[in-house]
Amino acid sequence: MKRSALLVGLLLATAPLSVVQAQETINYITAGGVYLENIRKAFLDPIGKELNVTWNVETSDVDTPVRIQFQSGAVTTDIAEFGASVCAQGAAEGMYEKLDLSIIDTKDFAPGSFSDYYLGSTVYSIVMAWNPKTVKEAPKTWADFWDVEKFPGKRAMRKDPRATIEAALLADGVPLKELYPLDLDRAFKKLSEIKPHITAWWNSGAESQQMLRDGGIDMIAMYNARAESVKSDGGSVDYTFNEGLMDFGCWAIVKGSDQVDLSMKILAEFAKPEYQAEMTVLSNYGSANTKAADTGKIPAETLSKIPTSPENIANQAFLAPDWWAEHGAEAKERFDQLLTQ
Amino acid sequence: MAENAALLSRVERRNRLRIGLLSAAAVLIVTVLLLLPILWLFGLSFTQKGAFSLVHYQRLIDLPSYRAILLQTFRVSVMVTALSIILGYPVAYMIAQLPAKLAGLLLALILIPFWTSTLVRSYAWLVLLRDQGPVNEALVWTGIMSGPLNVLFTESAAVIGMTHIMLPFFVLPLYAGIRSFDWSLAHAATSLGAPPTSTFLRVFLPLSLPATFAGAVLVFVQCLGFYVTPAVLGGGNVTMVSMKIASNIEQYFDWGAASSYGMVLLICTLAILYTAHRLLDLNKVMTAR
Repeated sequence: MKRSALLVGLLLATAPLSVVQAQETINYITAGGVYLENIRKAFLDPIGKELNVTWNVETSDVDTPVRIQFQSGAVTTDIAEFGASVCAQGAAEGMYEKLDLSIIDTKDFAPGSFSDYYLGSTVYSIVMAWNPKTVKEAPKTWADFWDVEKFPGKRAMRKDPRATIEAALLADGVPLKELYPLDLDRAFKKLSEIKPHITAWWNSGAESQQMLRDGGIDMIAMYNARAESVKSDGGSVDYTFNEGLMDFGCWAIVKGSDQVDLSMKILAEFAKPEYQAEMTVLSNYGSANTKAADTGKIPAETLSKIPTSPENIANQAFLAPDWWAEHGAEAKERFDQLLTQ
Repeated sequence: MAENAALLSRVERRNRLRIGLLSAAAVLIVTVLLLLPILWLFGLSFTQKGAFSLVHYQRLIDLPSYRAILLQTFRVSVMVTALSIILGYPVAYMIAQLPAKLAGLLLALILIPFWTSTLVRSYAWLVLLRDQGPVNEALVWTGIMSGPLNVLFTESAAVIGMTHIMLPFFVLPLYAGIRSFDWSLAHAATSLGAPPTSTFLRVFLPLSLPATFAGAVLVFVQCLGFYVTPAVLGGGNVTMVSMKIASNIEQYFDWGAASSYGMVLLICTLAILYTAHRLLDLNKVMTAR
């Protein structure tokens, strides 16, 4: 009797061990560097613990590794995180699973920051920044950026049609909510107006900061976080979220993955405002889930600097990833055409 | 006699076989790592969605930006090569005549920047060349210029930065070539009454041409594929073929679109090198000694 009680006790003691499921491994691909560190802290580590998942992370800025897997039928990546127009392009080609929006809660997501195939992760914005030492009166709109008489000075924009075309259309008077479908002819006409006054076109975010700090650029279209970091380092810069053009990182589940169900559950966690708020705190990126602002995790000071806080998001627009997936190549060719003229 | 001849030809055949076997590894590496990928790219450039297509080449013809970018790439590369020759030749000539210790010191001065990251040096030029930078301030202060040059974010800035990075690639092979120069030839010319200028022009210069050409080719070919420096210093006003190839992969999600342009660059480069080789008639120059 005593012995059997002991046995039962032993069995009970070991029970938790036996119900623990085998750990699953999820292959995750994303951009590297500081971004990945923050993604790990905000999403991968806590969610991995909760769902008993270990992560095998690969880094890439472009979707070529996934594309090659998909085309050769040997898919190893389960969850991919890229830029929104890359996700949209992949979705258009059937590379990604349709998301189960019954388990992934998107009702508080900013409109335009998700689709049936991809889910917004971090949100950033291309905003207008300027050097207040040389630009005395603060410009407010893209029309002001185009106004070289009233706001003289050296200008720079991103060497990419994305957001640049939208800015041109806004400068030409297209309302913020009626940008799409983009009128390319009208945009390029407006762009050729400003082109002689653009001293430099930047490729990377670091370059845009360098131009502002050392390059003698007075007005520039650049990422909000990059402008903020020059400012907090004591650089002479100011920026406005007014008419900012938001773009976002996106998660998608690769078609052919053998972990679709689990990946769907993971995306459902990714979507939750608590995790997204944590990412905002760590990285100063905005969050696609607008409820992140209500979690109380994000300090008021940070909220004023991210594109997705209620007051900032009101005067901005999301780039439409699906439009860019379809017309991106044409727009880029015309853009390169403009630059080499 | 006949026996000896047979023996000799046997030895020669054996030697040839040995050399063949020894170089087999190199031939294999070049084939696998260079020729096959180029052939693969060549094939891809004629493919669209798995079928034969000329669409990628048609695009290069239809859109004038591709021509403009190719032209700019060659223009920049020629300018950098020319500047490297103008700046590098006297340096190599001088170092080769200095005593070993001093020559070593000067070579180290050339090599130290050579070992520094290209990106770092490009950003350094960004700081140097800006309107309020030391170069412009010196020009204005000395009264050479009344205002800043506005050179940053132009093709000239890219050329300046690239020349700085490319100079060692020109100086080092030229220096190696000049060092093996037989100075008794120059002394002979002088003792026969040739003035220094004509000794240089008629003896030294022709004999240094192969090394000069080798250095120039090294610089030119590397310039054609340059990416970082023209991107940073050109401020987007300079687009090299390499940048367009990179953006083509991102924008068409298709290797074919990028490989066709790569092929055109490769063929243009080979054509230029072949022409230069014929014009300079290097074999003649080299066998002359």
